[in-house]
Amino acid sequence: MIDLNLNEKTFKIDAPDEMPLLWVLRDVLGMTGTKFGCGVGVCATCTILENGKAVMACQITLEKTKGNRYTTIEGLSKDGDHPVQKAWVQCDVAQCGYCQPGMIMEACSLLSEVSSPSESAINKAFSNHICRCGTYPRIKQAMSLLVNSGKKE
Amino acid sequence: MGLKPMGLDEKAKEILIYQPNPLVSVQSDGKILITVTKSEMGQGVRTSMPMILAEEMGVDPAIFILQQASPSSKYKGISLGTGGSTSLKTMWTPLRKAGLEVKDGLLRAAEIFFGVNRDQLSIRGSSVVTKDGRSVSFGDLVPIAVKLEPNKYLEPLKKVSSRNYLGKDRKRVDAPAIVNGSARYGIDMRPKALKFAAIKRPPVWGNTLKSFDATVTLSVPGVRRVEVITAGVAVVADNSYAAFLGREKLKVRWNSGPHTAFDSDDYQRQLTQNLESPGKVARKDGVYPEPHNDFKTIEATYSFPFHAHAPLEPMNATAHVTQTETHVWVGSQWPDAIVPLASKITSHPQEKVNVHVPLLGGGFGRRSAPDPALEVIELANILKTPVQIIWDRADDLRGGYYHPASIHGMSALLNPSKQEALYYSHKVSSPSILRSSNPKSPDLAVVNTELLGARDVPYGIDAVEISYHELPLHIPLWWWRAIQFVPNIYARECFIDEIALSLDRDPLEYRQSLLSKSIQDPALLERLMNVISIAKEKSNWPNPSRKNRALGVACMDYEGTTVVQVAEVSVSKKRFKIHKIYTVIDCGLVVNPLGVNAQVEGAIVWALSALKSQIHFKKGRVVEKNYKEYPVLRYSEMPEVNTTIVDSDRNPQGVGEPPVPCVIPAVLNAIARAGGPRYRSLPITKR
Repeated sequence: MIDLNLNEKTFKIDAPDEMPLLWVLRDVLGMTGTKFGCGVGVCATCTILENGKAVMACQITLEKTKGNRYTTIEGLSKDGDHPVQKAWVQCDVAQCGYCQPGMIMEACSLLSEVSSPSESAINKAFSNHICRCGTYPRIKQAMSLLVNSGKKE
Repeated sequence: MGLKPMGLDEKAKEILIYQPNPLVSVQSDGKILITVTKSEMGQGVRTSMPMILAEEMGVDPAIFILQQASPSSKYKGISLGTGGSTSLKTMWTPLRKAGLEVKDGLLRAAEIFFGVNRDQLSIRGSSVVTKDGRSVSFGDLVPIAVKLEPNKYLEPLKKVSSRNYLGKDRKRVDAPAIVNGSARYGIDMRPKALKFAAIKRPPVWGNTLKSFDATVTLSVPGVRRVEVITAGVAVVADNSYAAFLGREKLKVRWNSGPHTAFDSDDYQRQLTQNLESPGKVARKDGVYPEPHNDFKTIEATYSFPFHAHAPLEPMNATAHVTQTETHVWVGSQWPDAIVPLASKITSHPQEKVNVHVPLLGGGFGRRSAPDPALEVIELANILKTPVQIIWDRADDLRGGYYHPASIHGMSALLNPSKQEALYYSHKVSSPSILRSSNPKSPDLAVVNTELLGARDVPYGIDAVEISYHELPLHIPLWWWRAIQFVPNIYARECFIDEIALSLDRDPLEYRQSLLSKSIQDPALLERLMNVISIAKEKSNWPNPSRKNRALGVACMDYEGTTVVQVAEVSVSKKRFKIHKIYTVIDCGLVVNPLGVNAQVEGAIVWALSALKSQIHFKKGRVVEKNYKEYPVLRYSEMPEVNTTIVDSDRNPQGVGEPPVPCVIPAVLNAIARAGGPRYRSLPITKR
């Protein structure tokens, strides 16, 4: 039994230590907002926050979660009103939408580190992610919206 | 009845439903339900289709509640099949008709309600109002509307008169659910007591199961059962992790089939040799000119590799087969096709087979194949409890249904002194997707399908010869975003540049001159000329925006949608960078410009991804197993996108696929013009 600190709650998880957090979230807890894409850490679809920083849930075993704080897309805001979520809707970023929870968590991580990340920092962060539909240009728009509004504040 | 407590069912019975058309119903509680008959895979049908109905009905699409259609006999004449960029093209009239019918019914009900004539009534919000200021909600009209006879004299559809919603940017209806993680895809289906299964599949097509030992597998915590199904050996577990781990521990022996030596490099060589086979001539215009000393022949061979679709949501399906009913939840592009096949597996009559279609995490054609649904139904029929079969990325990339390799033999006879081409020939050598997907396909359909984009070359050259050279293949092949147009347009539009170069002509102006001499459909030629001249202006052709860059162009008509694309690239030390893609697209009446732009952006990403990757076979097995080996376009590689949508009042045409094919030749033509090599083989691995 492992205590998992997730979305500001503690969950008692009865699962093997080696189980990747991705499957704990999706299949044990039934929280399906975090998506499966590659399982080997090359597509970043399953990106969530570990102590506020982007990590891939398929690369973290349950055992390694001890002492850490996790946030998934479900825990980002109550009403979908996190600035990143709002920017994503405003720029109509999503197509099929499957990669977007991971993209949004990446944006949150990046913007929490530095309020106005450089273009190369944005490039680097999102280049871990795969989108087959082709939302890259609109992610760029949404990020520039967020960066500009961050600068104004 | 008074003995029963008031339950939800009874309350529901109190709601009257007016449904003049299977696509729309108005309830007495005021809700308006729209049935979406196409699968949502990111192309935006759940946003755009209701806009069409709403425009005709005279209401804001925001008031609709969307329901996703399941296969049913009630949609007579409307296929739930989603592909080929046909959704708005085929649903345009049915949706307008539904809007007109429901509006007519509500207005007739309002005539009775108010005792006034139609000319006194209009629709405002979700009510009908009279000229003297009275108002009744749609919901309150339902009790009257349900008693109306269908209107046999419904006015015919007129040319679109209002554009309150059509042609205006409308944001994706599912966006709020997508950004908060509540949007549900096939992989997110969680019926009660769900088990998860992974399939150990034969490593080579045609290999069959000899024996297996599941001892270790069954000792993996969470693994419940191991069952043999047609697709392979299924490991059923409490969660996906245990299913995958249990599968890894399975000891399986296979009987070798006839394809254990299959090698895709060898096959591509055979495809090249196959160009010499007689083939089937699909088009032969004019006669090959008499030889002349001044004439010059140019020839080129283009090759295109095998491709997978690799949608980000791996294949999966969830099913529950009870004694009397079959339920399957699957992100399918063609749910209709699953029903009869499922009925055969479970022996339930077709009306007891329920195919539920959640959102699709990308489709690109792969999800029109029924295989994930059928294998889970087979397994669920054994288990009689709900089960999801989940594919990992290797299952997905190795699971067949590929876009096939093809080889293109191009040749032309030129008269350099007159700067003109006298003869143009395109031979396509490939296995047939159509025949693989339906072995009963007639030869004529096979030839026409495999030559899409090749046979319909629009240019005015006196002698043209187009032929198809089929080479059968045992691997299942399937439709892929923009289908055969991708390889055929790549070869055609690159070779046109090669001809232009040989004749010392500007490739864009050369295309214009070829089109001006063409005798094909004048409307099509006019559209092509129009998009080209706009692209010329937008891209400032032939001048790139910076010195060390070059522009390349390609154009086509994709079954009614006319596209030209111009790529701006730079080349240095054999590496190239794609800076910008200009697109000019005429797709008929634009329903949702925001959606059209998104589709163009997506099409560019799809095409540029295809420049990077391929599927190989060695000893019958697929080599690639994840995105590491099958790379796709990444964020940092995305060029700037500049899109112009031509306004048109033709009925809406397709948008998802048409902007794909020209991207590749535009880029390759630009690379050649920038001093880089003339690439005639894909993928381009050196960058």
